[in-house]
Amino acid sequence: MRILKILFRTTIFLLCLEVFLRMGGLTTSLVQNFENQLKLHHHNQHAIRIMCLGDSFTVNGGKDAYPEQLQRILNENNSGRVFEVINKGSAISTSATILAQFEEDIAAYKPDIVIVMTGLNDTMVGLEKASAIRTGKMRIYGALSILGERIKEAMASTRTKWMANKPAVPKLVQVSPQGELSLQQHFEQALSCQKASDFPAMEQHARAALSLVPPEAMYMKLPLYNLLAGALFKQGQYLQAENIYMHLVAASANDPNNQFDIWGGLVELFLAKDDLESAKNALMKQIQIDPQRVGAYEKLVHYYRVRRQYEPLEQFLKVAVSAMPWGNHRGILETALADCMLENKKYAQAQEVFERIRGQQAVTNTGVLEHAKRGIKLCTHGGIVPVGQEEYYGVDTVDNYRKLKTMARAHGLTCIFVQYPMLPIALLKDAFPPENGIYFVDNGPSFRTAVEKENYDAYFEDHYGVDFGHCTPKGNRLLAGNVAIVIWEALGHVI
Amino acid sequence: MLFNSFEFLIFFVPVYILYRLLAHRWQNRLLIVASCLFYAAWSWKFLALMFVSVTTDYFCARKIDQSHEPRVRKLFLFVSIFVNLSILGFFKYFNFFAANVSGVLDFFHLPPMPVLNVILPVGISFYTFEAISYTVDVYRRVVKPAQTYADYLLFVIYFPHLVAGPIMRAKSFLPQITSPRPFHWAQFHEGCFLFFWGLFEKMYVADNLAKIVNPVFAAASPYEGGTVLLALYAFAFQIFCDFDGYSNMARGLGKCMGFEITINFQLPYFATNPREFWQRWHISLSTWLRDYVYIPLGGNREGEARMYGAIALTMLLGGLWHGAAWTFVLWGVYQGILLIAHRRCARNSKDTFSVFKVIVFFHLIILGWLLFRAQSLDQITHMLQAVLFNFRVQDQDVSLWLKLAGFVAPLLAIQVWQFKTNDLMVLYKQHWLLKTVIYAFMAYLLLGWGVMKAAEFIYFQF
Repeated sequence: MRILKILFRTTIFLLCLEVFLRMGGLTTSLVQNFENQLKLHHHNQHAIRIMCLGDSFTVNGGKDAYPEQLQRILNENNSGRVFEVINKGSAISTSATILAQFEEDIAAYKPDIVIVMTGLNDTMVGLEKASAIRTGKMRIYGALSILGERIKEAMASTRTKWMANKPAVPKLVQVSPQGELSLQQHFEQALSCQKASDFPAMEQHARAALSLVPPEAMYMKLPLYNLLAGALFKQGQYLQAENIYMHLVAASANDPNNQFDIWGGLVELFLAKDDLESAKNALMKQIQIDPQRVGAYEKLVHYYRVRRQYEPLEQFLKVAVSAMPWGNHRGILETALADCMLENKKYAQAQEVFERIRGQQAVTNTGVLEHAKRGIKLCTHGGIVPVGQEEYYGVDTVDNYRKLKTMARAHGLTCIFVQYPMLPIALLKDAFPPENGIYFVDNGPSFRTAVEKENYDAYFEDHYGVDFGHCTPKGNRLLAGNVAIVIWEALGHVI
Repeated sequence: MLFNSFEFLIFFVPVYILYRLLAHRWQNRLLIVASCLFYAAWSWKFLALMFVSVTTDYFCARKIDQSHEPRVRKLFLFVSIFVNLSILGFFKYFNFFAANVSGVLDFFHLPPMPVLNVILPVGISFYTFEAISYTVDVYRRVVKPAQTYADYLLFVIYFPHLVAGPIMRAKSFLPQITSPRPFHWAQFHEGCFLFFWGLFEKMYVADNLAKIVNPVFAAASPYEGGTVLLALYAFAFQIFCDFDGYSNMARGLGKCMGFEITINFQLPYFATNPREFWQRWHISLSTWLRDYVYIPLGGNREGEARMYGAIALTMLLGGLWHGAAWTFVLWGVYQGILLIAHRRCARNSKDTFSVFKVIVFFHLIILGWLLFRAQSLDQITHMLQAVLFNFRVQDQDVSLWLKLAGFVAPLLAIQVWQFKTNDLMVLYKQHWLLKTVIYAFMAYLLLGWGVMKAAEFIYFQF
């Protein structure tokens, strides 16, 4: 009897919760539509209407969201033209949901220009479903399944924590006479300065530690010199750093571990000096010492990729992989080779390499295998986006963008596709041949410079996109400014 | 382990199921093991430290009770208090002490004191105070000492109240440990309600208000008066909900297991004067200070001057208890001044309730919170200047004030209801349909706006 009562009341509770969720969502969308309709009410026959579609990055910020700021920026310009900017962002939308709503939105608002910034939610695993609750898209089942996921996560992490047998035991007491650090402490300070990128201090601590090494423990000097060389390199003192490294190479002939790290440092140094031959040689040395560890190759790959020098990179990687036996580490380098071919639009060859990776028994790393699988898919689609960036952009995203473009152009609308801050514009732009009526907004360089000059938190509220997040009002202003520039460009062409 | 984490959920559910399947003595043993695991999830080493305190006090209390020699009794009382205060003093206050002494030495161009890298053990202020109350009560013959080591160990280490109180008294808690605790549906129900309400206070109100408060105090001067005021209002409710939320969750867990844990807060912001405030705020601490500091200092029985001195010293210690920083001491002194001023001025007037008095007194309290929360004495001065001289009405961010209202309104609505009916459990006693609708609304708020990442309780490392 009691059990029945509990079940009955629980059912009523869940029903009420469902009602609140839907009411909440309804209210949010009603409010948004109402605010947008207010703008329509003042519709000026000669006003230019802009509709912004997107996800939480579009909607975030209230009166300081980027569409609202865009309207202010455009109207402040005294050009004689009046702008209306409609914010049709929705917190958990994906490129697919925007596409599905597109015709309806165009019919409702009849814009002149359509701005789209989407794609991040398409492939996000562990989507922040909390925002879905506010738009009423969340249902009880969804909420319960998230709770279930969280409980599973907690169980897994507790299991790992207890089984790892390493409870986080804080250091009880550590006495040091004020002002004098021991060798160990200088070493630790040097490492933490390295982490904090304080290279002058790192150099000082490394030198201090070196002076404290007792004569009977000369072997301790090797890692300390490595640190010192690193600190000098980061301060631009390449010659001194190189000297130390070369001496270290000679001194550590019997210590392959240390040699490996030293050659790694040299790769970076030679790349900084643009001495590619030496860098490649140093990397080959690394591979010779330990083909089971792939270390500095990433720096070399990055160096070539950023300069779009695919041919030399491809050649080098082919040589490098031939020196390695098959295993996970070779799998990683072969992946880099295939990615390089893909970016160079050599789809057939890239696909061959990916298939080779997947066919190898010795490659067991699931990340590598998944990457290869996606790579094959991209090759068969004509390689729309570089495989390495697929965490952000799926094949489907770009397909959806293409469909949006087709529909918008059919209505005679100008399209502006906006890339998220910090992400490369190439992901989007390369998918479209040059065409009238389509424009792209590249937020990468401006945000990177801004964050370097000030700090991350001035522009972003969180790390939702890993390298970037939802914008602060300042961030939204920058975004709106970038979009405004492209709009002026577009209007120059249109009218 | 924080109560508002999934880790705690997967700890508590199996423990509770096992608890209800066992007989009384085995229940106690299970609770001891579970509590050790609970604390060890933070640190094994400091669990050992707690055992040092527990063992010392257990034996000292037994000696005090067995002996009839006043000197022997006093000696063991002294040993127990000394051990507990040393542990507390060393782990909590050494660096504060060293920093201040070094400041003085520096003035005389003398070498500074060595700096130690001491971690503050979780819950240390609570369990040492609880231990002291136990030995003093045994000394005063208010209570008989625990019959077994296990009983006393559970008294101190019982996990719901282990890390942030309430500070329980042996007289009320020990008998509950030694008697059976059969399952009652009504008690279990109330426990679940209290836990849910505490969770709501913590996850919806306190953690969201923290997001409003933290940036304001983290920023450097100059400040704008309205922003400071907003942050202070937010902090007043944040600290209340954080602590009351935790206490309610502790009480809820206790009730589920058959324990009645003391109420720690009685709608403190409805107080109209300082004395009433301290009867409603952190009740277990204020009564501890009254019984073990204020009254031994003479209380109000040795003349007015002595009374004021006792109040001042008690509140200073109360402030210091909250943390090793001058801002906490200043807060304690401020509270002492309020109490003394109230005693002098309101001696002959009646303490009647009025909304105006509540509002005025609330603002006096938030001035105290400014002292409590500020990062430094400098920040206090700058913020006060901002509120008094740099208040710009036109620059106010309405959306932020609306946010504050949105988070505080549900809480205030329930609290006004509790105050008017003089019943903290008034929501629990309503018709099931009304309750269900309200719970569903609270769950909706929690799902949509509840801060999911378990943020630490403010009082966690006290």
